[in-house]
Amino acid sequence: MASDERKQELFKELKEGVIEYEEDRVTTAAQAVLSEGFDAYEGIMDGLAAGMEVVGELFDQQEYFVPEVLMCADALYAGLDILRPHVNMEGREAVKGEVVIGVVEGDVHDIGKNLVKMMFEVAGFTVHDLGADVPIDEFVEKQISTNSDIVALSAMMTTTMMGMKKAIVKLKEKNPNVMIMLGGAPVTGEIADMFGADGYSENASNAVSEAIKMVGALRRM
Amino acid sequence: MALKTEQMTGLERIVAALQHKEADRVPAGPLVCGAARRVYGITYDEWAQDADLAVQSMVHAHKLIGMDGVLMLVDLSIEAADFGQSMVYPIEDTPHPVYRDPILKSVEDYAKIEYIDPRKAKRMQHMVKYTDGVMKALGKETGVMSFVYGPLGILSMMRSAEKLFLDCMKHPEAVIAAEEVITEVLLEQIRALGETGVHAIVLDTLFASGSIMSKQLWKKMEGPFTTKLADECRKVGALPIVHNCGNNVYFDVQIEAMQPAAISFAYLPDDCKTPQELKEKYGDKVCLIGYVPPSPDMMMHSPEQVKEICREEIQVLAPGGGYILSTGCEFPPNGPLLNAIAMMEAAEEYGRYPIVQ
Repeated sequence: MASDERKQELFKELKEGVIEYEEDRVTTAAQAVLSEGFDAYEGIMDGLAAGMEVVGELFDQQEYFVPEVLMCADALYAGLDILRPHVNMEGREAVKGEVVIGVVEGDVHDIGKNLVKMMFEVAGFTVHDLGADVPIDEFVEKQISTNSDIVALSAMMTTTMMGMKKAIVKLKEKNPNVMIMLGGAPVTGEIADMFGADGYSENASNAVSEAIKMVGALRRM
Repeated sequence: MALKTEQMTGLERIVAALQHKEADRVPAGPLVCGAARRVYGITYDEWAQDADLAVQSMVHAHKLIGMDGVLMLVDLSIEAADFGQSMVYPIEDTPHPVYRDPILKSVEDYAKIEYIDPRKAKRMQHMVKYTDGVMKALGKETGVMSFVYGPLGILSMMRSAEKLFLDCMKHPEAVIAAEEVITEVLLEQIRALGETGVHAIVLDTLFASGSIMSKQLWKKMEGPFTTKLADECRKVGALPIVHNCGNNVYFDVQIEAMQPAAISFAYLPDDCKTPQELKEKYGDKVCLIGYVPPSPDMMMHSPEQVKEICREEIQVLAPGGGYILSTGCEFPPNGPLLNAIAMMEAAEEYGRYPIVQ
């Protein structure tokens, strides 16, 4: 089989393995990508990320729900863990941006945050995940130490949501140029505006497009 | 600040709404739960663990706000705590499990869940005493609704939601076996609550919504258990009411499973695009309770804005009865109480029957 044909076949396997949440299928295809000498980065972008894009569409169309998306994420990470150590960025565009992400203090609901993190990762961002129940100062320190473009804050409760407002003030005080995006059940676009955030994401699939817009705006500054 | 110009009691209004009749005005009741502690001046952890203080808090909140009906929701970990889940009781926040230490650490742990007697279990007894106290204090004139979390929700508190969702996909038989045990406990808890004479028991079936899982998966994983729970509510003389604050809530499959007297909801069902469509499609099948958003409306808006939102909802959902004006979920525990009062004022000002369009 011609090399290009084989490459496309393997990338299709990666893509469909993610969509059909078949971890073993993705693992086998990812190993074949490496053993047969194909490019790991292309495997991630044209295989795994392409699959996740379809998953995002299925989620938007209410064909897939959270359990299915989590299964797809497991399949995606199975491939990502194999391919990522072999990515050679030489001669490629630099990463799109760096993101600090976490769930604000007092709140431990992190499914949404984990899905957003995954979308950032497959889109080529460098992600610094602080986890859940993160004190405000930790967001500030991590943003400064990594010089990240974006800080993404998540909260699931009205009580913890108020911590976002304080975090935004502190983050902007230290670095007025940092872009801050908010997400989580009680958060709306109106609240994001009210708190002084730069972006708001209703769900994981639009978080990344919102982030890309923000990074673009930042680089034009 | 109970309104003075009223003729019917809150309970009578709610009964009329449940019978799809028009009362003197639209019954109303923001779901003031954790916020009640602030009226009585106690901390969250006291309110969540001392039933006498919780009763006094609700009685005082009722006096201040004048709800036609009150809900006995404390938090979503009542049952999980009694199954052994370690808990945190913050001073100023909702109690919750120690999420980093779930009691169900592996799929095999589902099989270790054993029956517990809710009549001897600390937190479920808190719920019974709280319900009993509020029934005695307010039950003659105010609708009183107790609260039971659905079996899948309870498991999410003991396993973590993320792992539970994956288990529902990969190991459904293990999850279902655990739900069978939990349901037996909940049936006994419903019997204990029924002995208080409580008017209704709210079954929280959060997972039956587009926010969480497909209809097919919910019907497989939780639907049959909710049928048993709702039937038991009716057996003990309490009306089953569904609360589901997820997006795209599944009215159809929940009505099929539970035949609830009412559904308390925060967002439109998956099969309705507008509140008008909701009223047309489900208005004669089930009493509608809702659906003013706790966030941002109750949390961030002014009382005048809240009243306007209430007016809009009354206009569409109240004609013909079968509607209780309320928040779509718990009134924010840290929210401005003036907004809860504003909802009652809106019911009085805009909700007098017949509704003027």
